[in-house]
Amino acid sequence: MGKDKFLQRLLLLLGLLCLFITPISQAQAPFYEFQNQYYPYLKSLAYQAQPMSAAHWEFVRYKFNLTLAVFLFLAIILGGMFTIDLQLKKRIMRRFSKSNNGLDSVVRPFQYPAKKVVLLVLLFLVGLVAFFFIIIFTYESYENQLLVKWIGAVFFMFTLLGGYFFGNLKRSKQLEVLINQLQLQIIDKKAAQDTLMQAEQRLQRQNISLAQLATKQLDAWHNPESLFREIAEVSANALDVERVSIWQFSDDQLQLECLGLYLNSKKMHTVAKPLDSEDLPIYFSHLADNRVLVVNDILQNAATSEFTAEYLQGNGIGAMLDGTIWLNNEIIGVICHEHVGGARNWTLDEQSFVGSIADLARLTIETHKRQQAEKILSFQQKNLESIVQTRIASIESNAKLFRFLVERAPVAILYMDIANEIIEMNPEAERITGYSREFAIGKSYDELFSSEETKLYNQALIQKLVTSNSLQGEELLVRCADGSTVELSVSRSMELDADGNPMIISIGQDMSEQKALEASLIKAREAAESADRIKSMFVASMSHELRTPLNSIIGFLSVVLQGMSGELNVKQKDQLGRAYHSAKHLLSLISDVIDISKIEAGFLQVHEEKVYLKQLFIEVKHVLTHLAEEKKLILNIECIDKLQLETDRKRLYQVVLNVVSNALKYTEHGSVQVTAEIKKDWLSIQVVDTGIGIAAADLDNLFKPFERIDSKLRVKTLGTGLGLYLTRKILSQLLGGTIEVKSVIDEGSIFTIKVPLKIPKTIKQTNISILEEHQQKHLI
Amino acid sequence: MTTALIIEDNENNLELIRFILEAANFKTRFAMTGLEGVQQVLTIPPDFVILDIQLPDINGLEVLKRIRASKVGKDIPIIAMTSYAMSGDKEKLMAAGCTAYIEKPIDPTLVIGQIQEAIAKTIK
Repeated sequence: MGKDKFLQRLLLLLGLLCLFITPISQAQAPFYEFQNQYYPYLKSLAYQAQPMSAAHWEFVRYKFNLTLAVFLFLAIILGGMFTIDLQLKKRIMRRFSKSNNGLDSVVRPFQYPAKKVVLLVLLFLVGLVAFFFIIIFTYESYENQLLVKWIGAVFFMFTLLGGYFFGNLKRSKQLEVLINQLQLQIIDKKAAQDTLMQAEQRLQRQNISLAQLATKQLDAWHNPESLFREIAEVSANALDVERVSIWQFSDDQLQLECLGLYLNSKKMHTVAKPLDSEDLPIYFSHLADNRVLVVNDILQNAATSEFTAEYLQGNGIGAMLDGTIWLNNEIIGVICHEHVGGARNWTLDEQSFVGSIADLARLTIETHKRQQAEKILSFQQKNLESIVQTRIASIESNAKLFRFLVERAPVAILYMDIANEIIEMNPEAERITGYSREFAIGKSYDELFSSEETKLYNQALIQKLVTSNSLQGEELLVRCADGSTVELSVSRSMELDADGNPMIISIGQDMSEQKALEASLIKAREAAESADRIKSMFVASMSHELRTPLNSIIGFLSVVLQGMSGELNVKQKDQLGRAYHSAKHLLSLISDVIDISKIEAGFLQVHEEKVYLKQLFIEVKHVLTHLAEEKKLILNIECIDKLQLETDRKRLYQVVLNVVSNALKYTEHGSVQVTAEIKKDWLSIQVVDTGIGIAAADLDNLFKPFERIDSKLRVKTLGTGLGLYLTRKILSQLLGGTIEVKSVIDEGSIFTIKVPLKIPKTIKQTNISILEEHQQKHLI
Repeated sequence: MTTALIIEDNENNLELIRFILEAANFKTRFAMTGLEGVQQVLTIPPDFVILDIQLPDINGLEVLKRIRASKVGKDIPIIAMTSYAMSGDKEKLMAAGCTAYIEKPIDPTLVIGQIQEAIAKTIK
């Protein structure tokens, strides 16, 4: 500053010196002289046209030159000052505009203050002219005093001007100081701005990296490893870090396994050794406590104190920035950024970037897991869908089948709710009742089908259904649309529908046809039975008609043979005797036929009574003794007294008589032994003979009608040929007993008769006795 | 002389019974239908009755019941004869008041004894 200021002050001093010194020293002598010598001349020059002398002109010229010189000096001073001012301004402006370069602001070129310069020059000229004329024309009236006053006024004016410029200069100096300060601020600001911009750019880079990773993630979810590589690479580039590694915690949280290590300078992916929590407990605990673990200087931080110097120094690591990966409130991994080359102050945005990267890694893992789960889920869903579809198809086909069955079923099917409201009915129900389905649906069962009498019964059925859940074969009268009634055999069951409401399924079979069929069957059976009855009756009455003449034949033959009608000769007696025996044989034949036909027609009724066997045996013996004696055979027929049973006495008698007489008939020599015993509920009668015996081949034919075993005795023996057949029929169909035979040819036979002590209840026959036979004969 | 009333529809059987009875010195009358027989018993009561069960109008059981229902007939010995009997028939007849029961075909040598036995039982 000193140079400008000094120059300025010097010039000012010089100007002042010029002003004060020059006129005074030069004007000392002449002015006094002038006053004395040239005053009248100057006066006449101004007011009177008086010719001027050469001395006058010299004086005027002198004065003019003096004034010119004074103003020349002033002009020099003024101009110099002005120049200095301008130079100063210009320099300031230049500096200012230079400092503005970095700010991109509009820099205006310096403008000279032309108006100001013109005004100053004009002022200067006016002052000069005024001074000149005053000096020349006011010479006479004011003389020296006035002149000095004027010169003083002019000086004052110039001093003012100089002060103005000086002040200006001073302000300019202050301005310069201000500007300098401003400039410094601007420089600071710019530096800050630059930092900001760098940060912004870094942030932008980070953001781009994140965005890039995010899009990558969407694409590469199915390959998380490549995505981890991508994350490491991008993260290394974004933070300008040498080593980026991604680690995963083992399931027990005790070990960190390296998923990938990226070396930025070599652009290389590799893998590091796993880290154990045992070796690094502090580091592990720090990881668990921080979302982002910031280590600006590895040597000064507790978290990394456990890392061996070898590791740190060997890799030249100076700072670390670790982002932990969390999933479901559990730490699952960490992304490590290791800065190589001394300490590094991690900025907030870098920290937050690492946080975001960790989040991204988490998202990756999460997405991967979710996608896998979704994949499985979608597979299962597909599987399920196909199963459901198959089910639905089968249900549909079932439903179709059921619908078909319901529609075609030849039974009336009603579907009702518990309040008896009809929900569905099938075509057969429509056909039977005459109500259309559309009409019936929504109406109550009783309203449609019940009369006053059947209503109560139906309600009772419903009650029964509620307690037992199903009914079968209930007969129900149903009122039809035309007012007629139909008898249905109804089965009902209660089922729960899809909503769990109890529903009634009622299946009714039209009984009218069945009834008609039954009736016709009964009729047919009755007809058949009556036909059978007629036949049996015919046989019975026929035998009666046959018997009646035989009775008189036998009776008269007997009378004649006994000589009641006079003596007979031997030949007559013999011939009549043959007739008598033939008639007797015929009678017994007829009796057997009647018995058999009655048994077969089921018209014989057993007459159960108490039978003492001994009594019965005595009667048999009484009848057969004559025959045994005739053939000189021993007949032993005995039993203990107390043997008794409840059976049809006449039939049992008939059986015993038949078998014993049979034995007698086929025995020529020896004996017939009859014994009886009771075993449990059975009476067993054994008839043992010493007769001719029966061949094994003939045993089967023994109990068949008219099957008489061929033997030498055939001619001699009399028999109907129905005896054993009838015996067995009586035993099996009337008494519930059996007869068996064992035999050895020429040695004898053993007949065993077994009769229950009580006639089984299953044997119930209709008895057409002689007494009723008569009435029925009339009915026929 | 003891008089027998034979109620029998078959002429030959009637003749046989009559022959046997008369040979044994019984006096005989006869009726060919049940109603006629009942009528005869009520009008001219016989000493005993030989009753056939198979009759054309009312059967022997009915005849028996009617005779027993009447005042005159309630003590007359009645001997029933059937050519073929079922279990229970005899009991029914005996329950209805029959004195004796003879199955056809009759044995001429035995029948008189059976009749006399029955008459003697009634008289007691």
